[in-house]
Parts: sequence; structure tokens; C-alpha cells
Amino acid sequence: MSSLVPLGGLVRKELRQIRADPRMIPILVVAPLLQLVIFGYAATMDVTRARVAVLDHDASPESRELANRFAASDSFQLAGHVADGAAAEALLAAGRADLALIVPARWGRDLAAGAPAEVQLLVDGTESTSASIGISGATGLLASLAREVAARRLAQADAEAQPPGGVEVRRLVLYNPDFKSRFFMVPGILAVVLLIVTMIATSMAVVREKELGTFEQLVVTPVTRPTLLAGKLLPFAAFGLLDGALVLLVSRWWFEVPLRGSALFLMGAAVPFVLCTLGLGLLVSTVSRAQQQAMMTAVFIVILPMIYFSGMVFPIESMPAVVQPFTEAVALKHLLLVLRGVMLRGAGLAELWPAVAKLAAIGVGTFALAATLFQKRLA
Amino acid sequence: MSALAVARKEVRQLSRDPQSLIVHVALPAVMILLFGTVLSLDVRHVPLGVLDRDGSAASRSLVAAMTSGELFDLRERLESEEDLDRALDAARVSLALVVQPGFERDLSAGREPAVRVVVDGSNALSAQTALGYAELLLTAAGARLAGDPAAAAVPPLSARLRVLFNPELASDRFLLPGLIAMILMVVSTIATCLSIVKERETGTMEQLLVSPLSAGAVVLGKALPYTALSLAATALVLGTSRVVFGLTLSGNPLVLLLLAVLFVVGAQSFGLLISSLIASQQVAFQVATYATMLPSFVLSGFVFPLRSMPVALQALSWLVPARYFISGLRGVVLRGVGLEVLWPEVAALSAFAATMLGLAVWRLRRRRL
Repeated sequence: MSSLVPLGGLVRKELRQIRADPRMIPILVVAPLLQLVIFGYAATMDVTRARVAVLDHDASPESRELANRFAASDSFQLAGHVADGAAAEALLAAGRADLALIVPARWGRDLAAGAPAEVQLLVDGTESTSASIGISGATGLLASLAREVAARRLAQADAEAQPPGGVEVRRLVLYNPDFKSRFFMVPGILAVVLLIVTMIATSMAVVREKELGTFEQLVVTPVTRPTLLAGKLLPFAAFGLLDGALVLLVSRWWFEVPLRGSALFLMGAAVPFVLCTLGLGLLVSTVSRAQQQAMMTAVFIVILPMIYFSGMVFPIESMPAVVQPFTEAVALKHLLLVLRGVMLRGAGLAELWPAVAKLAAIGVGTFALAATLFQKRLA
Repeated sequence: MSALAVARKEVRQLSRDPQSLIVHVALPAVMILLFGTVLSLDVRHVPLGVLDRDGSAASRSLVAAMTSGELFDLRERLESEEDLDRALDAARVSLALVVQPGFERDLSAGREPAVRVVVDGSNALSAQTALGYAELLLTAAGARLAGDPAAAAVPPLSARLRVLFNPELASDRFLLPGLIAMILMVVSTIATCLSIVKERETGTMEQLLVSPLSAGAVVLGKALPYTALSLAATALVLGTSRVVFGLTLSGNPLVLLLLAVLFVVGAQSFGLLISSLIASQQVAFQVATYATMLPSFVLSGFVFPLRSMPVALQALSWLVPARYFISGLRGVVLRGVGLEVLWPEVAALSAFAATMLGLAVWRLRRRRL
């Protein structure tokens, strides 16, 4: 119990230092909120209506109906009519349309007669994801038109005839029926805020004491090394978790991202992650002599790769097969699995135990390594 | 001429500091290499679950139609609805196909049986794309399986598809310009910011300021060597993108050079400005990192389409230089368009470079008075 007394003193000292340092408040409070607001509003990959330019060589009632169907659909909007193919391509090249629909002459007559009728779709493939969503939307629209025309013709020709065969596909979208990309991104921001607050602040606080030479003073006091370490890290862990809770509240009540599972389980899973980031912060401070160097290392060697390799924005399934196993070592990946599972799908330990176990292993391992190296440097 | 003297001094200093040379030129290429490999939003290998209650030849060929490409990977054969819920809850599958009993019978009778596709919508973008693919595959397979006179009566209304600029619809070709812009912005700004910081630490900044050099000469002299370095970095980054990721340039290289010069000069003057505005070097460095990294990633159109943002943020993005550089790069590299289309980008980047240069010169002149 006696070791708790110096620990309390150390924590108080650290908190006083944080308050006295004008740079700490922006890092600990302002930056997380700013990130949440900017990311929460800007990080949407919601697909807007694709802009369709129409080149109608046919000018028949059928071709006008086709254009109207595109205009009436939720997935498209008309970007205007063009006179020739060159104009259509120019519109796509200038980025003022995403798709061009080219209806050849006599198309309407062929369609009505049941002859092969083909339209041409010109697609700007630059933004590949919206392009493929646009293509499947356009193909679906044409297919449903084809079925209607066929049914109409069959009904006219022969009342006894069977309707066209095939299957009907019914869709059921779980967890995020309106396809809001914010639901996917906001849990990621929560994780990144935790990462930045705990890691950068820790490494900078430790390196600062190194720069000022005050760490030597602490080392020669009768306080034990583990107590020293705990006194240094606890305030930042607490700040990180507090920031996490704050972000969770804002995302629930302001951005209306659901929290379907247990908030307690969520915060519990954040603890091994924070252990890992504190360890990384310590590691960074061990190799850095100046605060700038610490921040540079933290940002470029740790934070950026972690974000890119965690599946926060770029899905892990789309990565090359060679790279995928390496992502297992990224703590952020497992935390994201837990956060998204709990918040969106209402999952608990029963579903998420593999991610939690890996998170715990990485957290304890990183921290143990960092603490050992750190104490060795002090000795 | 005096600007050249400052530039010569700067070059001599840089040549004695191989570490910052490496950081400035090699780091961008390493980052492209590292991050470029994971830079993809393509929807492939979606984990698929199948609940086949019919167990017929028709239902099996429906499943085969879905798994034949590399879009869907059959991960689990599910036994019941509870099984399905569990697999989706645990994210072991993100899309599931449910075929009810009597599917084959109804299909051959022309009764148009329904199949159900259940999708985990958490990742909205992938989910929408996967759902679109699944519906197309199932509809086509269904029509083929029905294979009866009625299906043949459907007039073959079809679409001939021609995808311009990025025929394989590979998302990395779309994303690479964004990554290039972000890395160049961050590294260029930080590099000049650090060079001022170093002059301050060694006290040589005061000497420069009391010398008879004009503020413009100091700024230009500082910016010139770094611009050359940044252009070397740009060339290295573009070369890496070409060799490793197959990003070929389809437009005019001179337009590309113009865009790059304007962007890099602007970014460097921005770094000078920050370090002259903020006395504390560490704070200046932090501001430079935050002020370049976050906007260049989020508000530039790199990953998140600007058109889907709230109007206020779209307006804010007008102030982000990376936005213009990215759309210019995409124009030159992917679409192969020239100045006739890209003049707004060139104009915006010129305005950015001129403003930042002007502000940096103005600040240095004021410090001197």
C-alpha cells in the first residue's frame, strides 16, 4: 500500500504539468473533438446520384421513356442531352457527367418488335466504386424495362402465354439499412482518437522530461521504477479513455450512430488497446531525443501505417493476399472489429472473443516490451 | 541574384545533411510503396454464406454462379436462420444467399421463385457494391436456368458497356493521385518549416534577417532548393507508382510539371509562413503536421467524394490546395486531358502559390522592422 502514496504524488505532478503546458490541452481535448466533427461530417462515402448525359439518336417515345426512367430513379440524375459521341466523351472527360447513355437510331422500333435492341453505356471509370455502383444500377434499370416490355408483348400476343421465367431477388439489409457510411467511419474515429491522444501525449511528455533532464531527478528519488512508470502513464490512459467516452457520447447523440451492444464491454475492450498505445508511446520516447523527433516518429512510423493497415478506410479483404497476414499484428484492426461489432451489430464477447483475445495479447506484449526497454535505458 | 546566393547557401547546408535529404526525397517514395499496396476500395472476395433449403441442382448452380468469379468467396454453408444470424453477427460472412424449398420446382414451372439476399450494411459502400453484383449475377443465372420459351421471349435488351479512363475499374488508380498529393503536401510543408526551425536554433536566422538581403530574396532562396528537391521527390513517387502500381501517364507531362511546381511552391511557402508566424518551433511543427495532414486526407477528394459532403465543408474544401492538385493529377494521369479542361485547377494552384509566397515575404519583412 505504501507504494500508492508516491504514485498519487506522481499523478498529481503529471496533471499539474499537463495543465501548465499550453500545448497539451489542444492535443488532449481540442484535437479529438475537431477530428470527430470533421471526420463525422466529411468522411462520407455515400454515393450521390450519378449524372447521366443522354445521346438520343432515336428520339422515339421508347427512348424518351428510357431517359425519363433514368431521371426518375433515385440513383441517377440527368446531366443534359448531347448532340454527338464526341460531346458525350468531352462531358465525361471534363468530369461534368459520370455516365453517358447512347440510344442508337431505330432502337425503339426494334424493342417494340422484339428484335435485339442494344443501348450503349459510356462510363467514367475514374471513381471506380461509384462507377461500378452506377453500372449495376443502369443494368438493373434496363433489365426491369426489358421484362416489362416482354410481358406487355406476351400479353398482347397470347393471353395464355406464361410470364417470363427467372428468379426474383429480394434484398434484406441488416444493421445499416440506409447505407450510411458514417456508421462505418465514426467507430474508426473513436479508435484513432484513442490512439493519438494516448500515444503522442505519452511520448512527448516522456521526451520532454528527457530534454529538461528532470527524469534523472525522478530516477534518483526513492520511488520504484514501476511506480514511476505508472505515475507517468496513468494520467494519459485516463485522458484517453475519457476522450473515448466523450467521442462515444457525441457519436451516439449528435451523429446518431447506434450503440446496440454494451458500452461497458466496449470500454473494457479499449483497455488492452490503450495498453498497447501507451507501450508504443514509450517505445517512441525511448528512441527519440527531441519532442519533434518523437512526434515525427509517432506520426509517420506508427500512426499512419496503423491507419492504412487496419481496415479503417481501405478494406482488408481488398489488400493483396501477401499483405493480409501482417494486418493481424495491428492492434487498431482488432479494436475496429470490436467497435464496429458492438456499435452496429450489437455483438458481444460470444461473437468477438477472437478479436478481444488478439487485442489483449498485442496490448500486453507491446507494453511488456516497452516497459522492459524503458527501464533498461534508465538503469 | 541575391536569392541565388541564399539558394547556394541552402544547397551547401543540405549537402552536409544527408539525413534530411533522405527524408525529403526518399520518404515520399517509401510511403507510396508502403501505403500504395493497401490502397484499394475494390470489392472482391466478399465472404459469402449460403442457406440452401432446396438442395437441388438448380439451387446449386445458382450458388456456383455467385462463386465462380473472385467477387464472392463461399465461407460457410448455413443450416438454419439462427445460424445465418450468428454468422452475420460475428461478421464471419457479410452477405448471405437464402434459397427456400421448392425453388427448382417453381423455377421450372415458370413461377418466378424468390431468393433472398441478406447483406451486412455496416460498410455502406462495399455492401452496396456487393449487393449490386449479387443481384446482377442472380438475375442472369436465374434467367439462364429458367431457359424456357418464356425467357427466350424476352427481347435481348442489353447494354454495351464502355468504361473510359480506368477500364478495369481499379480503385487504386483513382486513389494513388490522392496519396501522392497528401504525401507531397505534408513532406514539403514540414521540410521548409524545419529548415527555418534549424536556422533559429543555430541563431543564423537573425543573421539572415539583418543582412542586406531583401525578404523576397530570403524566401525565394529558401524555397528554390526545396522546390528542386520536392520535384525530384515527385518524379520518384510518380516513377514508383508507374513501375510498381502500373499508373501510366496518359496526358501531357508538361501540364503535370506545371501542376507539381505550383503545388510544391505553395506548400513550401506555407511551411515558411507557419514557422514565421509561430515563435515556438515545436508548436510550429505540430501546426504544420495537423494543418497539412488532416485536410489533405479528408477535405481533398482523396477518398471521400466532395459532392457527398455538407455544403459548409464543401466550401471549406475550396481552401485546400490538395483538392486542386488531386483533381489536376486525375485529369492528366487518368483522363489525359490538358489545360483546356484543367485551367481552373492551374488557376487555383497559382493563386495558392502566389498567396503563400506573398504572405511569407510579408511576414519576414515585418519581423525585420
